[in-house]
Amino acid sequence: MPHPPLEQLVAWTAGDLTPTQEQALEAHVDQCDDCASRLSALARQELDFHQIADASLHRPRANRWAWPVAVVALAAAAGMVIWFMPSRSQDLPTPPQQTTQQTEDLTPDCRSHPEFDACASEAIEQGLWIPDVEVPRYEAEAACLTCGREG
Amino acid sequence: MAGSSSSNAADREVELRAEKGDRDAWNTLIERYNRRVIVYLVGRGLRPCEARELAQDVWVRLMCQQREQRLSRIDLPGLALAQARFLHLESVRRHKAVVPLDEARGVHDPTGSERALDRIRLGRALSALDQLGDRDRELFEAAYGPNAPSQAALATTFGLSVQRTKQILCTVRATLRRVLED
Repeated sequence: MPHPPLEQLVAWTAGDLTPTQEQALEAHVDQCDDCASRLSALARQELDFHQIADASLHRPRANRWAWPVAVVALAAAAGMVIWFMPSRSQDLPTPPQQTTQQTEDLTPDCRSHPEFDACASEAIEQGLWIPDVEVPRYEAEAACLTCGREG
Repeated sequence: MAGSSSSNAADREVELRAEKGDRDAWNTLIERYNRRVIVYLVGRGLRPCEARELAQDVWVRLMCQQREQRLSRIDLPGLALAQARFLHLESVRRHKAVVPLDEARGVHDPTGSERALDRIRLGRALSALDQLGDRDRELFEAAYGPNAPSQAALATTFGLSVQRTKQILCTVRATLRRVLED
């Protein structure tokens, strides 16, 4: 019998041969040192496969949903923290009362003033005014409600 | 895999019956694990005909030990592989005056796996396994894990034909072989 192909030796180790094929192969391997050595190496690999399967079964399984679940859990936790955290506004001094009414009160006088643009630039530079947001209230009633300048 | 716990329970039940001396249970266990013992012995350098004979001795010894109540628990295939290893070393001792120290040290290895894969190769094999589809990996784990069922039972569990099951296992083995030989 010629040397059996590698596939047949592999099939022997996996138990995939028919009894007749198995008998013929074993009869050859019992007489042939080369094939016996190849078969022995393949049999050792077969034992490695058991070891690999065992290690694979006993390792922590990587979950494909682990990342999305972790992100959602983290977001939920952050939301809870923010929800239950005491409001910072309670710790800070009460900001000046700001109402849209003030803006309306201010606008007719201030926006029609010839120096409005210069005044507005100055107010923006000083951080006193953020256009289109809110207009701060000032103590001095006579002061310009935009830049704070008197008169 | 859903069926693995029930199949493990069924396997344990057969082992328990064998522990009580049930002959049918022993035949079931021999039918299931004899090939594994033979392949193990061929891996240790025996010819297939020698391996078959020694495997027969393994089962006879185990059954005698059970009858003499010297086996507290039958846990296969580990017990059969350990017995096979012991008998192989005994036969080597009979023919050789000196047994290599490493061989002698491993006589009582309960798992019978004296040729541990190194961590690097094992890691490579596991990552190659991860790159396969879930089904192929699970099929391989079931086929080569403890209490591996027959290929027909595997095919039923995974809803595949026996031929397809064999093909998938063949592909997985070829992949792992490439990784291990690199």
